[in-house]
Amino acid sequence: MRLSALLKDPLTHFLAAGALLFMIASVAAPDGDEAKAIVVDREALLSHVQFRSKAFEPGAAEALLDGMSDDARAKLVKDYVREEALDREAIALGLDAGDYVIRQRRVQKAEFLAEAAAKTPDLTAKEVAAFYAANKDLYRSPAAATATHVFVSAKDRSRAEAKAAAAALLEQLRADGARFEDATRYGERFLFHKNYVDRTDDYIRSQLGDEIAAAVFDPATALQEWRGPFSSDYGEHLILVTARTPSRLAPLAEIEDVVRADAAEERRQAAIDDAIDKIIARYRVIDRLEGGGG
Amino acid sequence: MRKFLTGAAIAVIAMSGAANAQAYPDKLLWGDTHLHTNLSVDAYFLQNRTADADTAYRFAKGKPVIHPYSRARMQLQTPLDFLAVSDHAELMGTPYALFTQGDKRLANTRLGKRLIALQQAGNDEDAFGLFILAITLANTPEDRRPKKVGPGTALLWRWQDLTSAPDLRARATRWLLSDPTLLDDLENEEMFRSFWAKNLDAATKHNQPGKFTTFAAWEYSPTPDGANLHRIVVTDGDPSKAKAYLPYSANDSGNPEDLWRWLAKTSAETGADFVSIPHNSNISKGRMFANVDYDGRPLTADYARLRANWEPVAEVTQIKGTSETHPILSPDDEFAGFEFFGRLIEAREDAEHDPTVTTADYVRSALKTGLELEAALGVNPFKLGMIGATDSHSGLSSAEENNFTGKFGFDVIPENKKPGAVVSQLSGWDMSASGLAGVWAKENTREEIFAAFKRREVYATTGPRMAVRFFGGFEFSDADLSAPDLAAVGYSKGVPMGADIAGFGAAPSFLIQAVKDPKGANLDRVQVVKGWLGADGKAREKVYDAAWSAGRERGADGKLAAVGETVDVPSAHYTNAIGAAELTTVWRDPDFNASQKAFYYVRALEIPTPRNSTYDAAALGEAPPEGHAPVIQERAFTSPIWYSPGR
Repeated sequence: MRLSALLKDPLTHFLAAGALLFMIASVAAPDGDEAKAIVVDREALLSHVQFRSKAFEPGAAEALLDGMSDDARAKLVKDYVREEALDREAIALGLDAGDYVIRQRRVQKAEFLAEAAAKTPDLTAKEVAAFYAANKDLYRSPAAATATHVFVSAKDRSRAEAKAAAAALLEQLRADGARFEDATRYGERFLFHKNYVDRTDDYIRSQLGDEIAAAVFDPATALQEWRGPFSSDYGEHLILVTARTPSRLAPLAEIEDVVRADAAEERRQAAIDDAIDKIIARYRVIDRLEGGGG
Repeated sequence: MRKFLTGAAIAVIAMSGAANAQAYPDKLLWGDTHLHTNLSVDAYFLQNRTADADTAYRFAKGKPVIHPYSRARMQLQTPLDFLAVSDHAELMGTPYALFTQGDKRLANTRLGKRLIALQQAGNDEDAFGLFILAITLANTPEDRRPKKVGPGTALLWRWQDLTSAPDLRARATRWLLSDPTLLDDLENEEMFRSFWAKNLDAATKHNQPGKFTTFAAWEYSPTPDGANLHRIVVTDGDPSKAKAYLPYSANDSGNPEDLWRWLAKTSAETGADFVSIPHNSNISKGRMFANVDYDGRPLTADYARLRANWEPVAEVTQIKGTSETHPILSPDDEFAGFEFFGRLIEAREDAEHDPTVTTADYVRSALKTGLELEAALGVNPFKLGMIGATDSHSGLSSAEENNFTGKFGFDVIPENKKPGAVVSQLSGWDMSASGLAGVWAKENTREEIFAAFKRREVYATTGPRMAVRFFGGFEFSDADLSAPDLAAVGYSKGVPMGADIAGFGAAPSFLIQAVKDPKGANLDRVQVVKGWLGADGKAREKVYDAAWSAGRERGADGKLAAVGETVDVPSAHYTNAIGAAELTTVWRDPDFNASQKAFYYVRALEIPTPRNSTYDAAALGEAPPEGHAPVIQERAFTSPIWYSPGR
């Protein structure tokens, strides 16, 4: 776990290298085995340069290598040989075994492979349309209504009295031909709002209660007509609905960019999952848990 | 009180203000000015890798989004009307660039490599520690930073590291301390500019006048010696124009006076206006509202003018506790003990971690200090309105007690909130599901909301959306309470919250209306908090019950009986069987003295409801966590109205 951090520290490198070189010198020196050969060629150096600079641009690496002075090249070769020797030695000594960081790193690399393979796809118009059709709820705006109300409080009078007062008020509103903007002249102050302009069912329900929200959104409630009385927790209400906007599904043409991006992301995620599933499928999982892990 | 009226009699014709419905702010807008995304250093490390400004704005608008840590779908119960994404300016976006993007401009630096190594070794916490240390050191004046150590010491340290059990954190810390030039590795102006632009572009994209407002904003985060002096800076301008400058950060200067001077200069250069909003005075170690400046010198009139000009509003409640007042400062206030925060922002293990409780740490005391300083300087540096905000770091602004996503990414999972589960010093249950800003405006636009902040016609709540009106004047009478439109009366006869009244001997009267959150709990009571300047030059305070739900009287000791409680703790359930949906009153100060300067603000209390930790406990099937009240009384604090004697 801590090894990789240690190895990334240049000074640690230096000290550890000293210790390891000593070990190499004493343990491995007599062995002239071919497997211990470190081949220094152009390919190895190019690869080394790119890893060191973390810039994976072969052209630039070649230019760098070709432009190097003899001294610089000798230093590079020495550097490469040292790293290669230490890496092989670490493997030979089993220093990589049981290292959770190395294990995680391998898992991560495999995941990256799966992700890289699952490039963000270029979708056809037809595919975008199919995604839109299957996920319409994502692009739907809620229904809304515009209404006003006249309120009679049930706080200081009985419910029956409030209903009777509201019924009388309804007659008056109708006789006066009261319009939306006249509503403020009638009734008592309601604790929330007088007018509800382009509000959702949820909003109206939270303030005026279920009965009134249902009436406001009921297609059978005629527009521009005073109706009621309806009850809320607070009293009796007469309502005038002037507009209802049904739940609207934004047409694909209007939001195609958003849908295309969503569809592509979904496709990419699915591809990653598929790729990993395929890898898992190449293994036989033996489940020795109690109950088979059902 | 009111007799039965016939329908005709109810048809009151009293519409003097009908023709000019837009003459006064008639819309109550709800929003959050303090929210962090994955571009804030701490947010990123504490498990918000993916929720960016775009996610934040979509969530605030009520759209479902994916949580950055749990990957579960999250949605607000009631959308917000405005939001300002306000990432920490210090190293904004740097961990995101380094770890998520692998940006070579950082990844190839010495410090960048070291951080990547720590992270790849699975030591996220150490990488975070190193990062925070880098910020802290960068904030330290160069003459106080540790000097670069010599090669001998460095070699000795390395040798110790090799021969003793490796402690990565200690090693990394010493390594960073050994060479101050390492701090420059993460400073990349070009990158900083691009992340600032990313947040600005998201603000531009999501702003919809009339429906939803966004702001260009950031957090200025100096924490000298563990004292939180943080400010949220919000601008009124078009976000794209804010690309002309980079957010002023603690790396520029830790002295807030330098920030205000920078605001003045930038305002003159670009035409943008700003408000700077101090927050978490409760963890400022006695410095946020001190009567001395950053360097410990007594305040001057110039200081007071500069500060009052840029800081009209304070954030009094948020996830890291409520800074209204404390029982030690307000021993006679039975509701003073509400949602404290028990730990300073302090990374040094050997330093003090407990917050102080002084008059400079709480806003009510600051309002009092302001009266005292005004008498001495002629200007009140602490003439503060009040707002709440979340300070959420998950990109998701939620102050709903039963739908609270926590402060940090990992806090979304109740098990992670247990003490010691993730972070040793703090538990997720130490966090408060708070707060929100209520704004009285004519319409939902950037200009209107910003103007309301400037004139302090804003107020704080600890999460619920109770509507509170507060007007001061000299002509209010009880008859005004039956007016069809209280606000029309309020504006015609008086001034709203945030404003001033001046008297010529007559006693003021205050028109107050509080309405419950339509989806929330009933109200217990409405109180008026008064602070005044005594003849001895010392400010004092008193809390009055002004209106309360029916069925209770004051006792012989003047104390109002408690409202009761309907909470069933095991199921985290309450009912509105007690309390009132609306409380209105015209309040007069029984102790009024026409010659004394004073301020008055309203505190409205809900009936008791379950705390966020109680909902978690119910979900886990466990008892509520120790150390936190299972039941709280959520509340609103309005901006004050200031009274001064006329001449």
